[in-house]
Amino acid sequence: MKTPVWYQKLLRWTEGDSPVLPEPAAHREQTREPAAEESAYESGPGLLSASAGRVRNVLLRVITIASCAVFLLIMLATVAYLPRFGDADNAPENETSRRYIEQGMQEVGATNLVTNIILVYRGFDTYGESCVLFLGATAVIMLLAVDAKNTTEEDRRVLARSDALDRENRNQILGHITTILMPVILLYGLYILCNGHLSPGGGFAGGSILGGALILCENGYGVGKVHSFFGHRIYHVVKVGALILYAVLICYTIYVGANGLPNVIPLGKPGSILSAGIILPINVAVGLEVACTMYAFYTYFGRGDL
Amino acid sequence: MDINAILQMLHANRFEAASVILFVVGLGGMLFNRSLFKKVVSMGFMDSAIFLFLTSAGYVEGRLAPIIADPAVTATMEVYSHPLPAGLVLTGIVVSVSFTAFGLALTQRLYKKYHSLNIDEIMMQAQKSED
Amino acid sequence: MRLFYENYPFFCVFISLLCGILTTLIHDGKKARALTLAMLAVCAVLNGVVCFSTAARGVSFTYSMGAFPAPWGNELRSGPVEALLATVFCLVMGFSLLGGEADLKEDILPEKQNLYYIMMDLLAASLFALCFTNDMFTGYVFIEINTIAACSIVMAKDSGQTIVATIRYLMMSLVGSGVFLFGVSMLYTITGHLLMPSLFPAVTRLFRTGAYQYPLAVLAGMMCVGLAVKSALFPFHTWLPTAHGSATTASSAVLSGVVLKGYIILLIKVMCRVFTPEEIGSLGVGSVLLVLGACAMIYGSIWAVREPHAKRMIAYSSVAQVGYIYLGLGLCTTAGMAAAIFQIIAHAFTKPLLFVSTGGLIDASGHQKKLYYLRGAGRRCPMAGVGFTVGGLSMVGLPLLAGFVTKLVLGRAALAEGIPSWQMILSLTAIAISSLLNAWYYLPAILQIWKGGEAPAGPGGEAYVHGPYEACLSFRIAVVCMSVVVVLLGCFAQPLMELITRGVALL
Repeated sequence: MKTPVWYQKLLRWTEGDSPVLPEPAAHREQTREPAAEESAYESGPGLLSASAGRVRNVLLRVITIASCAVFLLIMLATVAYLPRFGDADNAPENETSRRYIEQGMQEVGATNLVTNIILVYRGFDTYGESCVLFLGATAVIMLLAVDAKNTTEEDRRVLARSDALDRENRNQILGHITTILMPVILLYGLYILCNGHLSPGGGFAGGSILGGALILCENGYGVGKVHSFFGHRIYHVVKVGALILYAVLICYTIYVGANGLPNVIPLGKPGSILSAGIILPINVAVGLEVACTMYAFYTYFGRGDL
Repeated sequence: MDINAILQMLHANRFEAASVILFVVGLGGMLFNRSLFKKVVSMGFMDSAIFLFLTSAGYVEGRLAPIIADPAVTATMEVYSHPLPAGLVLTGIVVSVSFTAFGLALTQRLYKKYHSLNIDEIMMQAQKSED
Repeated sequence: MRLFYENYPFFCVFISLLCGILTTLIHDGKKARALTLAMLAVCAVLNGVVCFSTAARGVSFTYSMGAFPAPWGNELRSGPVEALLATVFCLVMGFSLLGGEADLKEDILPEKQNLYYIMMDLLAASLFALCFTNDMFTGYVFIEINTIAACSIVMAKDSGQTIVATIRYLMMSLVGSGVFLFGVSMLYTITGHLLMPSLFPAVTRLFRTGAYQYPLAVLAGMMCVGLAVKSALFPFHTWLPTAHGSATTASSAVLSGVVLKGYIILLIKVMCRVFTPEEIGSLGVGSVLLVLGACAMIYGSIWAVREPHAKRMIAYSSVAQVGYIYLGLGLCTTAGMAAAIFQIIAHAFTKPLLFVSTGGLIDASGHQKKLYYLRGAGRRCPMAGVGFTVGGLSMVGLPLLAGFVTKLVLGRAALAEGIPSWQMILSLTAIAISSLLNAWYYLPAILQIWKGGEAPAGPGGEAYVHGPYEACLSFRIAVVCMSVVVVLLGCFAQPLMELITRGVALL
């Protein structure tokens, strides 16, 4: 039995064996060189013969399939014992939901009850969550920011050449469309950002839209356009400033609330744009942070720099 | 419960059942795929499955989304569905985005270094270049 | 009006978060390091105060994060045990950073040093939050912070191997947190709560009425498995040796000393504050944890015996030591919990001591990582040699050292009344075999580092060692402090055990 060549190729491709991106020739030579000789003192595990290794692989595969199947059956059976979907008298129908719905607007001030929960009732969780985003961005920078260890001269040359090409052959259509779309996108992002307490949206959604606008700007006007007004310094200051503002607001609320002190931030009239106390400034801070993070993800993945 | 009752409940809880199946698909994908990129995608599957599960926990038949339309009218619990799961899902999505970015960044670095996405091959090469 | 010290857990979490965020703006690695160490010192003092105040009064307290108490808003909660563990974590992280200083400077590029300290700060914040949280979902969020930070400090060294280790660690961790979150979601579906004080009566009611027995068993299992994957319990430990063995010294020390324990603390909270230990036992989850713990103790040691790599050998030993903790938890009694918590503290000091000293020994042997090349390293760098000896002997279980007390209290917990005889026999056998195996690999290693004669040469006859090695001051401070703590834990364990036992009753 001989499997057709195309099938093998397909398999290799789906398994990630064959390269997705073309690789520079110099690298290919380098990695194919035989590795350093094994140390004479090495007598560790892993001396299985090829056939034993294959048997072990098959066995492992069978065990994994079986355990996945068992897990699926157990979980499906569990689902059958869970409360019926959509019933009004299920467990979440308790004093917690009642207070969120019936007193949330009076106590916290936003008509969007979900916003009340994530930014005030469970504000600590959500601060943790924006810290996850901050950490994600930091980890990406740690990995991908250009440095002596992860970038060779060759890489730098390739990047410089593609930048030069990009500058010479500006895509006019994309540029014009960007000019037309930019104000609309920015306006929409700001609207979502600032109406988080009145309608679906808020910092996370609005911030992603603003981040998308920055990415579009980078693409439409060319490399370096965004960098001219949004360099490292501004990026760090905006990101850190937003997170500190958020931290100060949430710390104040927590400290005051936990110690039974009066909260001096006014709640305003529910339903108007300037209402809901700390929610609006928090949404703005979160939005700025998310926009910075989204843009940072994009540029660090592409160029290893802002 | 007999098998009929179980099937009926599974039908009633079809969103939860779907989420469980999606979760196991993601889990299996993570275990079986040798490609790092597909492992990261499977990771997304698992997270989305949990979000589906949480969202369906918050749904109540015939009730509205928990955003008060008219602040002048007193809200009652019988009008709006549970708001808490929606908040949890939002938190979960942001966490999932960060992890996807992190996983992809690691994948990119490994690809740059070893010119492969296959975890076995990468591990073999890393083993060789050790010391 | 609440007592002022009750604010301290909240202060600790936010001080460390803010230090991490501000470190972004500090581009000088030295300043970032000073800030991190200062933050850890402040937090250690604050947590120490909380520990003494609550222990003196014999109380625990809840602290609502905002104006809204238990079923509605987030909460923190602290008693003597939580504050004690948080203090221990601060100290261990501080010592690890001090001890790993030389390697940190070498392994991480100067322009990325501040990023490493950001990760350390947020790691500290997440550990405090895991110690103090009273809310399952907060637990989940901070588990994720912990995961990203832990993965980042593994990859900080930025060699091919560490990145491979990181991605494996990341995948396993994500499976773990996914399974854990699924468990939490199911718990929410059948109880409608996320905060532990409201979950506890709801779960007790379900147990009394017998409703949802099957989902309860499954979700308890899922939460335990999720956390077990992240804390490297036996069948899920595969990521640990490469991740801990290949990272830079300070990271290895922090990871095995502290990070693994954060998840276990959350598991203890789930077992004590959502369920009761008896309920966990009646669901059969306890027995599974016990058996897996016993397997881990033996399996980890066997692999450590076979490992030629010094740091990976110690990492395999971590697998075994985590097994001890799960053995204590699996007994599902108060004494078992107390023994597990004592082991958390003992291992939190012993393992970083071993990693830091091994880092010193490796540096003194021309950066060769195999045990073979460490011959005589203790004579070249006596401070590291002493640290390794103290740590190794503690792991073997020499009396008057921390490891001995662990085995003693675990054995006593297993011999208590009401423990089924198979559990008793299994625990005692596992402890005995594991101690023997520990001796089998730690004693030769200790002899090896004190051997005299020429330093070994490489396969080609090249010499790796050039002249004597001078350890830096911070390394010596770290090794001396941790060795002293290990000895103190071994000699004066009684008061600490009493504090822990009383604290477990307050959980």
